[in-house]
Amino acid sequence: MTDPSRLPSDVDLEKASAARCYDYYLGGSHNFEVDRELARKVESRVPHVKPLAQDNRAFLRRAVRYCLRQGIRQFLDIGSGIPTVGNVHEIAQELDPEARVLYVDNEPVAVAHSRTILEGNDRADVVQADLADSDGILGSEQAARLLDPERPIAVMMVALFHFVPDSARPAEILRSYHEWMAPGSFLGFSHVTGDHYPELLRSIVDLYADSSNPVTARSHGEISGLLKDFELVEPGLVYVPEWRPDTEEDRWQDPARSLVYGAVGHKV
Amino acid sequence: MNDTPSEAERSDTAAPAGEGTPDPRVAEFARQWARTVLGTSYVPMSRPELWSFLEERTERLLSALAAEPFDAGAAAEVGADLAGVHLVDPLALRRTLELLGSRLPGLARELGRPPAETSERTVGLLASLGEGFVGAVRRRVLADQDVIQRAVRQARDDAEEALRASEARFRAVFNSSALGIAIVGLDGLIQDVNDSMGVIFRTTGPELLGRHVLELCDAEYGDSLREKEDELVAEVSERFMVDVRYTAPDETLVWTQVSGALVRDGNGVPEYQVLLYADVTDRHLLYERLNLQASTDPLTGLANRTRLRNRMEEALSPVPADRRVGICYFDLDGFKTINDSLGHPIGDDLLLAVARRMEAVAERWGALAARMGGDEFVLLVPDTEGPRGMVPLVERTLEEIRRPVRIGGHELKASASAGVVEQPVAGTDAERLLREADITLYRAKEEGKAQWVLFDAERNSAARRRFELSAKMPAALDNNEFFVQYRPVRRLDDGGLVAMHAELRWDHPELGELTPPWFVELAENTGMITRLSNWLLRQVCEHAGEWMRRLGERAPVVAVDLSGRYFRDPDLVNEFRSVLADSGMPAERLRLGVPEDALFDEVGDPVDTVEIVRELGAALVIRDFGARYTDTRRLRELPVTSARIAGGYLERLSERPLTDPLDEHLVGSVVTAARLLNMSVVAGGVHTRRQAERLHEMGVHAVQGDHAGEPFAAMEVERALAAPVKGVGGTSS
Ligand SMILES: C[S@@+](CC[C@H](N)C(=O)[O-])C[C@H]1O[C@@H](n2cnc3c(N)ncnc32)[C@H](O)[C@@H]1O
Repeated sequence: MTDPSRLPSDVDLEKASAARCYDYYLGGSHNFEVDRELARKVESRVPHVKPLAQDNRAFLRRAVRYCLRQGIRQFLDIGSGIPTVGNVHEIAQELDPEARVLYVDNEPVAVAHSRTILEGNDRADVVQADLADSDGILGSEQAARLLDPERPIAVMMVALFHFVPDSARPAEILRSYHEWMAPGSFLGFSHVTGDHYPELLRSIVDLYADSSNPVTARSHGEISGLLKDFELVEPGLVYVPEWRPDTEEDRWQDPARSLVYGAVGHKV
Repeated sequence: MNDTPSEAERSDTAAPAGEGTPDPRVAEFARQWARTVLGTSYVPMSRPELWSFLEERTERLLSALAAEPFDAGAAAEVGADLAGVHLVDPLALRRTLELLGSRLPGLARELGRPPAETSERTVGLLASLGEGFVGAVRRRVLADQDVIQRAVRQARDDAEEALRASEARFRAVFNSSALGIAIVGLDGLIQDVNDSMGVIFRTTGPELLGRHVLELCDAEYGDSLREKEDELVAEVSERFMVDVRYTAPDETLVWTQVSGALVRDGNGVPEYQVLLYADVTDRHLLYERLNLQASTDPLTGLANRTRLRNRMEEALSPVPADRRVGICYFDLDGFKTINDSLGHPIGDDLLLAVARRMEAVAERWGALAARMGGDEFVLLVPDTEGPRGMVPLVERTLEEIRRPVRIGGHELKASASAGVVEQPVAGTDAERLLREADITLYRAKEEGKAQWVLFDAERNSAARRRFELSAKMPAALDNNEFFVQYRPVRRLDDGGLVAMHAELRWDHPELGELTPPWFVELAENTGMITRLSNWLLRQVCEHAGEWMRRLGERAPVVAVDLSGRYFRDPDLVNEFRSVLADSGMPAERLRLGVPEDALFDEVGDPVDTVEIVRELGAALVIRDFGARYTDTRRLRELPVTSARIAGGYLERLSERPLTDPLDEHLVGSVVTAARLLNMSVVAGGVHTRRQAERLHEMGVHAVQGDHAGEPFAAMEVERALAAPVKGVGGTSS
């Protein structure tokens, strides 16, 4: 008999995935030919896509370290992707081995990958879930084990929301997390934009349209709107190279070419 | 939170291992190195951290360059270290080699540690570094690939495990469900069923495989199921639910509620349907029983209006084309009398007996017998072939009804009248058919009892008007649409007032002012006459009583016409007495105009009312004197004071220059007869002076009509009395 409950297998290697393309831009090898094919196409239109992705990753690092300096010791990293190098738990546990990290991604291979990497680490885990399912994520067994909702937390949503179309009501999603976060918590956030280089962005949007993760770019105003419940720490919502660079040399001549806005929000 | 980024980073970043403070030239070299490799791949460190990291590697390479004996192995380690911090891109290697090749020897010289055989050693170091780098990167790539492959396998295993689990769950549900579950292809063929399916459909599961789902419902229900299924498969609807009936091979009826859903494959393409069958037979039987109760006449067990309506809808559906339909509307004759005289239980038994017989006839003709209420029944005959075919059915039914019935010691002989309509289905509807049959029945009753009449559009429309008038009469009376007006009756000798003649009028909202010929007979047929006449009598007496109070002796005598049927009503007397008492009106001042017929019963004896009226003191006027000559002598004994004559011949007397001798003779002989009977003669409908003159010549005493005065309302009696006496007959001419 044919089984009516048969699920469409969600391990789809025929489509490029954002997580694995991103890994490619970072120089990782956790990717397949389909992913590299798309990534190379993007690279041909946006030649600096690799530095661009790396800079986003660097923003993640700086944001996590910032939160650590503010005393945060628990992290919820949503849309964590394939942790090539420089993962949140590595950054955090380097400073404090007791720091706790819960990863969330909706892509099964990324999740399986995290699981492999995290084997034996009892202060970090992963949940496969969609961002929109905040109840499922925050109510998961892993969250119960690792996170203390009474204490401030850093929620990382880096290079994630441009995969959330307006139809999925991104503002409502953010609000549900904001509500859950204890006062004193932080939100690390970055998002692709077409504000200054619309043609470059268009190439990316077009190329990703057929992948598993179509892209929705948003303007500075729209992104600020999404973050309105949070108080943004200095320097606010800026192109990622401008967000607290490690050295003056890290600034870009034309930061807008990074195509990604970043901010850290504070729930007061 | 106002710390500046760069200083903050430096402060909390653990500085990589290094021996003391590096020489600024080494530091500068490392910065240069960092600058060339950054951006080729992601390095999980801040730039200052990378600087320290590369300073240390620079130191190690410088040492290796100068070391004795020369050992290139240290450089291989540096290559591997680069890969270790995720400097993995070939570009990073190339730039590293370029930088080291062009500047490392120079740096060594600047630092005062120039080795022997510098260029040879440099080449060796770079080659080793490249080898170490490539080896480490290869291991890393393989490891990455291994990890990601494992992740894919893991993810697939997880998905499959989830699938297996849900499959197992589904199996459990499938097997244990009391609902029948069928997996059905897009072509409608059953691919798999659970055991419950077999139970529901009185067979075994395997028997059902390969059969079409439409075979699991009776033909009448196939269409609705097919339609729903088609919509589902065509993705017009997401799911459906429909009740269908199935007749099992052993003739058991099985009612199922079928719900269906479409299952798609991974690409969203419809793959098959899942149909759930709930056995709702019990519910349906209950529903049917309730429905039957709701559509059955409780007394006779025949169909009631509701069921008749439903069956008419079916019979009137216009497919196939050219369909016809027949309706017979029956009404028992004189049923009210039976009910009144023998009592309701006997009446009910009679209805029951009639119903039984009608049902038997209906069954033979494939018709439906229904009771509409009271003593009215309807036969619905679907798919007739013309009016002729209805005749035997109707006659047979009437015959059956006429057959005597024995009920509780009585032998009752009932009869019925029927209205029959037989028409093409197209262009009519249930309501209209029933109405037409009802009106046709009404015509049948009008034409006499115990017969049937076939629908005739023209005749029906006249009948319909009458029918509607009579139907509206009771409400019209309540709504004060009826009123009484008066006309003077004047003596022809001197124009003096003889009486005021009351005229009943109906101010009909659509038809305007109607005179008694429009409605009195109808009222007599429906029995409405009693109410109407009581009302008239009371109205007239009130008016006259009022006149008496206002005018005393000057108040005129009042004449009012009563319907013959009413006059013979034994209740009249009682009503008459109470009306007189209520109005304070002496009977002597009242003249009752009645048709001659009404004074006598069937065998020609005067009716009792005549004597009573005389006792009370009212006078009687014969309204249609001369209509029946031969019997005129019988009036001699009666207290009739005057006779009224009216009709076409009176009018003709005046209209033409030369009167017809026959008309003159008629008037003359009527007047003479009245004289001989000691009655005065009043002529009605006299409009012209000329007419009046002629009549006066011929011996008529008084006239009414336009010549004698216009009609007026009761309130205006004074004005009517004061009106100048028109020149009448003798005196004025
Ligand atoms: C570009 S990667 C970002 C990785 C990491 N956050 C970083 O910025 O370095 C985006 C990740 O978000 C994940 N993602 C996209 N939409 C998601 C959703 N609705 N729920 C959870 N994860 C999602 C993708 O699978 C992918 O792994």
